[in-house]
Amino acid sequence: MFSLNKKAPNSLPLIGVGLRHTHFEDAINSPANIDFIEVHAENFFAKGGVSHAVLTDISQHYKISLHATSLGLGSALPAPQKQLEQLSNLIARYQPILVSDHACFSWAESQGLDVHAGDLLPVPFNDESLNIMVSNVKRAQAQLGRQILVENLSAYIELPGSTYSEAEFLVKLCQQSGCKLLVDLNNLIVNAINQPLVTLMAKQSDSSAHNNVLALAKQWLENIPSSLVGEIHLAGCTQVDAQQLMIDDHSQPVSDDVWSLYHFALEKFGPVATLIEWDEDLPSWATLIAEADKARAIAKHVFTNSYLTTDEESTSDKTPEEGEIREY
Amino acid sequence: MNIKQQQSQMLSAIFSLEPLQENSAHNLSDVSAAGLSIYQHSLLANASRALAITFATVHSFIGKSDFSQLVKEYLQKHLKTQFDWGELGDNFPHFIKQQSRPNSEVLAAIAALDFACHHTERAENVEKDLTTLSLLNDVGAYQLKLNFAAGFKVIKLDYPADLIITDITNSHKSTKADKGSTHSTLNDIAEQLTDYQKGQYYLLVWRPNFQAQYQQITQQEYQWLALWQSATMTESIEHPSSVQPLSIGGALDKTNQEEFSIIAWLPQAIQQQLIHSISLLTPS
Repeated sequence: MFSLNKKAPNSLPLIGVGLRHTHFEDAINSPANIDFIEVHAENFFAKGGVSHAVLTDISQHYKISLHATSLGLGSALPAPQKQLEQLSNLIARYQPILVSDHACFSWAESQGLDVHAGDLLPVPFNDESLNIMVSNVKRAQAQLGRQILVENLSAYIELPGSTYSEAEFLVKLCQQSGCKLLVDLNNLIVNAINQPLVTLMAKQSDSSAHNNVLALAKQWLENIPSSLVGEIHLAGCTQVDAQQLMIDDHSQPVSDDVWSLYHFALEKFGPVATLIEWDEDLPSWATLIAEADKARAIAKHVFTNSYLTTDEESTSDKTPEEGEIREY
Repeated sequence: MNIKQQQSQMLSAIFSLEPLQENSAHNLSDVSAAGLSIYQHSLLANASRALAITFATVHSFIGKSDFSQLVKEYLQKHLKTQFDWGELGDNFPHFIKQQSRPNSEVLAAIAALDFACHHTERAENVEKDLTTLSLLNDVGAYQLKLNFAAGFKVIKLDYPADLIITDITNSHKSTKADKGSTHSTLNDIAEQLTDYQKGQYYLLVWRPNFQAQYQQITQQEYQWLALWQSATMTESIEHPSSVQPLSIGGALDKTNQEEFSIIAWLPQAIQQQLIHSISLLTPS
């Protein structure tokens, strides 16, 4: 059944791009029509030097979002205080509009040492890991003096012991810690594609597989209340053959599946700040900005036109207030 | 098994950098071998990228392939205890030195200089105010201290890494001019490193602006600058009021002035932007 959604928020989402070293000069010399820049916090953990000089310049042109990749919020071994202090100093220095990290573990003990994986490692979705992550998120928010966003992972291993779905787990995390979610739509697609292999089942090769991927991703989003979503990440990655795990390498333009899912997500969540991530095989600055323009065009289409939706339920959990622009 | 144990096992399995079937000790038979392999590749790729930035000269001399192999062996022996990739590699020079490959000691000296430069480039910025030099005319040496450029440090090496880097870089330039390529491997470099004499070499590393610079210095300059390096480090760690600050006069008292002349050294240090300002000592 089709329904005409006449609800149109009076603002569009903030649209930004992830900034990597290659584009520093372009970002300063060719200011783009974007609302914010997102940088990896750890790239600016040095006390001084050229990286801060560049980010200071960039912060004159754009709002900054700090995306951390190292806290390991799901680690049973908590992050050292020094690490939180460094992130806190960075926040004080650049006053970012958003601060985020991931629903993963990174710290663990090995050979009697506190070791950092340098990666985003998956956790099982159960009460034990929920309690750990809630405690770590609360500690981080107390140290940083602000709410953080926690991003869903692309995971290549499924650790045994889950009693919740990922979406259920993340909703509980938000409810118990007061954080919000950074929903990475490409991670949802990657996980949906990889699920049969990660769960050690035979990978589906029939024609329904593709439809199932989008359906799985949409189902995931359906389980997230709009009020809990603070940012959306969009990315593309290298395609792989059947029987191979897809790796979320952020090396390609945003895929058609992700654009389709973005349209769906905006309809459901409202005008949520949106970021284009591109980390490998970086394109020109103009190409990167064109991806942001594409996101803005979709948002305009969703929020400034009356549009037809095939799924009336998709906006059913949204209150009038939630449809308005969020402030960050 | 609780989460803490599960996470420890997974992390150990990743850092083994070996396929799952050879990891019976890690008890991870219920996870996908392909999945574990992705995390292992990611670790190696990220570590190679990070260390290639920190040890840029070593990386450029031995090439990507040999460098990655070196990084793999390093990670298998030295777990990553730092959360910041920029801090990884403090014992990488020592690890290189212990390799049984020819001339690994020389390559280790180059790595040590790379690491010193990397740290200097990440050091906290220091305000430059050369107008304060006038204090030298107006105030006694026991009331003044020198403020150095960001991240300044002195290091002692077994080989003249600065000269070796210049030689090999020049040799690469001529090779490129002749053959259009500078591709080299660990073995190529090992051969080029045979001619250098082991000894004691003193180097100064500092950062006038954003890029680290280095130069060989005499033993006397090393001793003089080591006093200031030690004082600067102590001040940054300890509470200022608990530290007996080093004055120019005090440093000169600790230096053999027959071998070191501040009169000769100071103008050069100012010209090189090694000194950023002079300030009055805060009474302790």
